[in-house]
Amino acid sequence: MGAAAVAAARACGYVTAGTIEFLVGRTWSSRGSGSGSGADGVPAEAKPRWEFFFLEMNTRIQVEHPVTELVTGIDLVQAQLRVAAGEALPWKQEDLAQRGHAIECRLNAEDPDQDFAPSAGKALLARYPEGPGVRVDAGYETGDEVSTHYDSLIAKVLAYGETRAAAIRRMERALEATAVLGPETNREYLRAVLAHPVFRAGEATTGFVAKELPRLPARPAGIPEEALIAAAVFSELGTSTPVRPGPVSSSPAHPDGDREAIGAESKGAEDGASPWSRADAWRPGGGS
Amino acid sequence: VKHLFRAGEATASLDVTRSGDRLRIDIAGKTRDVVVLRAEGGRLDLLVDGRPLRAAVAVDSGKCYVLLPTTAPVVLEEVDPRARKPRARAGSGDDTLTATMHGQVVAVLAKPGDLVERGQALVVIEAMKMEMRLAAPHAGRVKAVSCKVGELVERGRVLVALEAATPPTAS
Repeated sequence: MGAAAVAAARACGYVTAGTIEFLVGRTWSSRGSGSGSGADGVPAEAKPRWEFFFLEMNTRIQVEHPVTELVTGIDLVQAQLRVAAGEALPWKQEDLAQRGHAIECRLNAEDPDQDFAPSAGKALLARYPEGPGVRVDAGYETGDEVSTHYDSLIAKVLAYGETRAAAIRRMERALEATAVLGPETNREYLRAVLAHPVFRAGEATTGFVAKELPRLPARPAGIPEEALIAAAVFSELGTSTPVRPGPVSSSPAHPDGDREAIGAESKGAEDGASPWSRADAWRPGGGS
Repeated sequence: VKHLFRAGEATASLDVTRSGDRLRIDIAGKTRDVVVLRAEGGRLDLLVDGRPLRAAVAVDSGKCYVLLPTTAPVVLEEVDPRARKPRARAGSGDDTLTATMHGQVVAVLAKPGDLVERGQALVVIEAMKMEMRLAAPHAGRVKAVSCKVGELVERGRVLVALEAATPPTAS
């Protein structure tokens, strides 16, 4: 696919950053062998054949470009500016390689419960995740007005991992630490996609939303107890002096100490209860 | 201190006893021991009975928005526990078509007197490069149209009023 994209750009003498989109499809080699069908009407002993098809070319950098940047380690926007300034590209095709997996989630101001209708308003709070393998390109900060005059993109949240499973896991943690309050957002929908078995199996198609996840499942009635506790504490503390984690924390050892190492590592990134978020002379093992 | 919260139809009350950064919260017949680890910039890190609870909280126009790591945002209204119950809102809401988002009206597809089917598009609104077709919530007759093409409308604004058409005679 990469070679086809390069060939297409060369064929039309294209210069500077561009985006070529393909659709990837799978066909099954043996059909109607008479030995019965598996799921989806696929013959039991059929072998998949992958094909890709040219979809379109965008003569500009696209919203998904950070995915390419994460798996290749190059800065496409900088390269675009260099080309525009008349410089030669700082690398050759054979210098480039892909490594690992990256996922981008577009956090949009839209309401999944209202057929993804745009939702405008003031961002009362905008907090984004950080940590190893996580990148955020955000357009809004706390207090900004999300207006209807632009499209609904609030931020792009990206996660990188050595494997697709690791990237998905990191993205899940990153979205948990993503908090935009005020306009409705699609965060819960994005989380539902990541958790969906079809997506996790890498089987999602262009029909995924319509077929597998047209809307979020109904939420349980009543108010979650944790939300009530948080609201009551917030109301009780009022606008009094902020509480920050002190050097002598009343926190116990890492609350997720039992988790498997990778999960604990990625979760720790944004967790206030974690010793890793402390900036004092904390040491593993309890000495100080 | 007693706190009473309302979210839509649901209400819940909590009793909070505070001593410094430690709180005792009585809720739903249970007592929770809450330690405040961090509370700044809309971020709340708590230990509830020793378990971490992280929340993003913001307050606007008397409403408290709470977002937990793994649930949709909850919008709570704190109610004075001594106040009387608010009177129920009049009207079923089903008799009107309201704007589901802030945007510009780009088409009005119905006029007063029209008979419309349930699901028939009556108004088209555009915002954020998206067009949204607003459909009749039920079959009926258009009583009034209160918007026009080109107009900017707020979310929740009434666009079309509907009334029940004469019920068809039983066959």
